[in-house]
Amino acid sequence: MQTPFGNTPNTTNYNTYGAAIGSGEGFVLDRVAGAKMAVSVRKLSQGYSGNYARIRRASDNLESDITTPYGGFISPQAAVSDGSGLQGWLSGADGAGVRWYDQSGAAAHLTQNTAANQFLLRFGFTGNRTAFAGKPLSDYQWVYPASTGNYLFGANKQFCFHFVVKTNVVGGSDFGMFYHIASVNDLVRGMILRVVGSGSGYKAGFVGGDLNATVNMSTVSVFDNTRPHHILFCYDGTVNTSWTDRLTVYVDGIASPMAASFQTGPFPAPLTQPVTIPRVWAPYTAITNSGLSEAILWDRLLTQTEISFLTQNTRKAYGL
Amino acid sequence: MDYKYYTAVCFDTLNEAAQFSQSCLSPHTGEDAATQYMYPVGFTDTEKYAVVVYDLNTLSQADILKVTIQKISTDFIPLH
Repeated sequence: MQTPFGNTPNTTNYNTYGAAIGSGEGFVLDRVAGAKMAVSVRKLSQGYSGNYARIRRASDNLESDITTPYGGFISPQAAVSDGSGLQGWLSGADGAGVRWYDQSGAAAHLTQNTAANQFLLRFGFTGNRTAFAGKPLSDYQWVYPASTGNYLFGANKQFCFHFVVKTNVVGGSDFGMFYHIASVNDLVRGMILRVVGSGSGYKAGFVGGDLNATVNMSTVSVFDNTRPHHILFCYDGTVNTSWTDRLTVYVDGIASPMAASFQTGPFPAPLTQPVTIPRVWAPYTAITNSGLSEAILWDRLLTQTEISFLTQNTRKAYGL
Repeated sequence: MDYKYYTAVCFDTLNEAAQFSQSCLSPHTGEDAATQYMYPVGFTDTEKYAVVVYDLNTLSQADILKVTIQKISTDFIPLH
């Protein structure tokens, strides 16, 4: 059971891990360039000097930006706008996520303006690291800026989406890390990147289409839901052999074969942007706790060297 | 689309629902606060707008009398 302040954070600066360049050392955005959206509980590039997140405390609804990480991470000792420490400013209560600032420079911040829908800042949620996470009996969600749709939808689009997630979903529930669809019966327009419960764990899943063609596929492997994972979806819309050939999913750095559970309509087909608002979707049905520590979007395919770096770097940063 | 039963106050328009949710968020002392709404807004199964009230104690006595149990889509409407 995680408690907001129950875990002592690992304050070792993540970029001091590793022996040499090539073994995961350095900042992610400096070594895997060109991100279009990058939110995290850690500093992602050497030159980033902006704020990390805006949080609200429930006692008086005051909001403050987390301005300075501690040891490279949002942790209880991080500083807020008035210079005080995060844990002290919150007086031991939970902070609620109002805005999660984009570190890519594209100003693609995640937001949630409704108090009851805001994720809570949980220290020590993802390994020893912080996450924005849900709690029982509510339906919390981040809203993505509409600009992310430009990189994902249309013919021949290529993109990579990376997440660090911890969720205890099991069969019968799912957690959508990017949820942007409109649906008509069995047909979907748009896309969902999610983890979908299977047995006592979960699979990484992809749902997409353009209302004429729809695919629903997920990894063959089932992953342990008692610990965090990092998941990388790589989608290549220029591939016209099959939906499964278009997508490569890496879980903890290992490519995981996908199987389509449902497919309809003609192929090839593009993913088409729906007239809906993209968000993180955490339906409270059957979900007791799901949280994200990091999400990065690139509008291109990453090289094997970059994927290898990203994997090693993320594992070191989060102790995965 | 999933539906669940919630305690809620119903409105005819999204604007009215959003204003009600806004009025529940007090005290609100942040100078440039981004949080504008206290409770989420969803569609009932009869396609009315409803503000889902998680804590009745935050409402005035008059508003508490407007609260009913409604079947509401869990896919809440994002407010801006």
